[in-house]
Amino acid sequence: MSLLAIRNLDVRYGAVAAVVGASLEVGQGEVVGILGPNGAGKSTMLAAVAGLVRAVAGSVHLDGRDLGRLGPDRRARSGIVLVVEGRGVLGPMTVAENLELGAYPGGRQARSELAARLEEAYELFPVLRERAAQPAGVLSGGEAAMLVVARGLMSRPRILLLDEPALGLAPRTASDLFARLGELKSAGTTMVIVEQKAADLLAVADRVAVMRGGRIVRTAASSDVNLEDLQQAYLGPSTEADLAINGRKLA
Amino acid sequence: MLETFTIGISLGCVYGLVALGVSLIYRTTGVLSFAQGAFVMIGGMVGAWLADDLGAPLGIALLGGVAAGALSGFVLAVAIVIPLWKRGASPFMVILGTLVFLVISENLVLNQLGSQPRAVRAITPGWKLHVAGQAIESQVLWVLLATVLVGGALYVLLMRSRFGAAMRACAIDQQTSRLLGVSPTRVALAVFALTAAIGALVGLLIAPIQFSAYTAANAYGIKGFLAAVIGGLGDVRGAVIGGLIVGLSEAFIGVYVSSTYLDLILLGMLLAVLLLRPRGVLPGTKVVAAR
Ligand SMILES: Nc1ncnc2c1ncn2[C@@H]1O[C@H](COP(=O)(O)OP(=O)(O)OP(=O)(O)O)[C@@H](O)[C@H]1O
Ligand SMILES: [Mg+2]
Repeated sequence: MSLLAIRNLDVRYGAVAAVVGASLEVGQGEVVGILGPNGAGKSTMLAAVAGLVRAVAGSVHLDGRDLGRLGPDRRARSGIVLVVEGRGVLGPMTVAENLELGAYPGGRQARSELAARLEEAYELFPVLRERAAQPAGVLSGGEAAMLVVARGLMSRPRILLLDEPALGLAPRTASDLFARLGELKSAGTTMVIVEQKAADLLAVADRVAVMRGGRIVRTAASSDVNLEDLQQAYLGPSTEADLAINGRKLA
Repeated sequence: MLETFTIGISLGCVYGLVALGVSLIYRTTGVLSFAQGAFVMIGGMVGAWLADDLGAPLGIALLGGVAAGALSGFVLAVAIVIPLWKRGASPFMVILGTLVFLVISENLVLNQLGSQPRAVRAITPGWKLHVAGQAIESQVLWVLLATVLVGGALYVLLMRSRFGAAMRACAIDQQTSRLLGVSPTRVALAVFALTAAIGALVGLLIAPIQFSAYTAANAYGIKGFLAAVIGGLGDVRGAVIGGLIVGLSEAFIGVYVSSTYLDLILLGMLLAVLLLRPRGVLPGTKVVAAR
C-alpha cells in the first residue's frame, strides 16, 4: 500500500479548473518529482494534499486513511508537511524559534530530543547555526529557503511536500539544496518535489509526474525519462526559451 | 493629589489589562473583541455574589470569579467566534457577535444577580501604606502586584513555552502557522479564556475600590479599547501603557476638570486618537493590518 494516494483530484478556483482528475501514488521512502509549465496546477495539487485548498472531487489518503475535509493543521499533525517556495518564514521570530516551531506538529518532545533535531538541522545547513539567534526576517533568499526546508523536517513528517524549494536561488545554491535533498532521500524521507529545473529534479527523484493544464499527463521512472521525450509531453513545441532556463539545451 | 494618583494607577492597571486582552486577541486571531469589559464585570459580580450571598471565603470568591470569567471567555469563543469563522463570516459579523455577547452577559447578570452595585471585600481591609504623611489603600498595591504578575506570567508564556510560540506564530502569519500544525481554533479558545480570566481577576481586585454592577461592562470595555488604541492596537506592551494613560486621565479629569463630562472627554479622546493617530500615540508602535 502506498503511503500517499491521490485519486481523481479536482480543484477549482471559481471557474478555473486548476487540477483535473489527478491521481498519484507515493510509496514509503519514495521521492516523486512533479514537472510542468507555469499554471499547470502543481502548486495547487500540493496545496490540496496539505489541506490549504479544498478539492471539489477526489480523495487524498495517507496510510489508507481518507483525509476528507481535514484542515492544514490537522494534516500537518498527521504527518503531511508542506514547504512553500522559500516563503513562510516567520520573520519576527529567530531562526532557532522557527526551527523549534517546525517540531510543533509532531507533538510535545523532550528537550533532549528537540536539541538533537536542532543539531541535525544545523548539520544539514550549517549556515543556520550561525544565524540561529537572528530574526528569520533578515535571512537572504537562499538562507530562508534552507530554513523552511530544515523547519519542515523538524517534526519528522511522514511525507514532505516541497513546492519549488530552490526558487530564486543561485544555481550553485540550488544544486547544494538538491544535494541535501538527496541526503534526505538516502535517510529514507518520503518527498514530493515540484521543480522547474528538470535536471536537478531527475537527479533526486525516483519517479516524475508531468502536469499540464491541471492533468497529470505522464508519469515515469526517472531513469526512463529522457529529456527530449519530456519536452514533447511537457512543454510542447516552441518553448526553447523556457528550456534554456533549465540550464541545459534540450532541443 | 496622591489619592487621585493611586486611583488613577489602579484604574489604569484594570484598563491596561483589558487592553492587553483586546490586543492579544486581535494579534492572534484578528478579532476585535468588544466583549472584554464583560469579563471585568462578571469577575466582580460573581465574586461578590459568592462572598456575600453564599458566604464563601474571600479566596474561594476570587477563584470562583476568575473561573467564571475564564468560562465566559471560553463560551464566547466556542459559541460565537469559532462558529462564525467556520461559516465564513466577515470580520464585522464577528465584531457584532462579540457585542451581542456583551449585551447577553449584561442581561444575564442583571436577571440573576440583580441591578444593585456590589463590592468585593478588600484582601487586606483596613491596612494602609503611609507615604509622606498620606495613606494609600492596600488594595491599590494588590492591583499593582497582580498587574505585574500577570504581565510577567504572560511574557513567560508567550516567549518561553511551546504553545506561546504557536500563539506568536499565529499573530505573525496564520496560514504558515496552520502548515506548522497550529490550530487557530485552539489558539482562539486559549486566548479568549485566558484574557477573560485576566479581565475577571482585575474586576475582582478593583471591586473593593470601584463598585461593580451589571452596567460596568460597557465602561471597562470602552476604556480598555481606548487604551488599546492609544497603545497601538495589537501592541501588547503598548496596551498596558495606554491603560495607565487612560486611568490617570480619568482620575485627574474627574477630580480637577469635570466629573459630569468625564466620559464625554474620554470618548472625545478615543475619537481624537482614532482620527489623528490611528496607529497609536506611543513612539514606535506598530499596527498589524487586519486580516
Ligand atoms: N488563488 C487562486 N485564485 C484563482 N486562480 C488561481 C489561484 N491560484 C492558482 N490559480 C490558477 O490555477 C491554475 C494553477 O495554478 P498553480 O499555481 O497550481 O500552477 P503551478 O503549476 O504551480 O504554476 P507555477 O509553475 O507558475 O508555480 C493557474 O491557472 C492559476 O492561474
Ligand atoms: Mg507553483
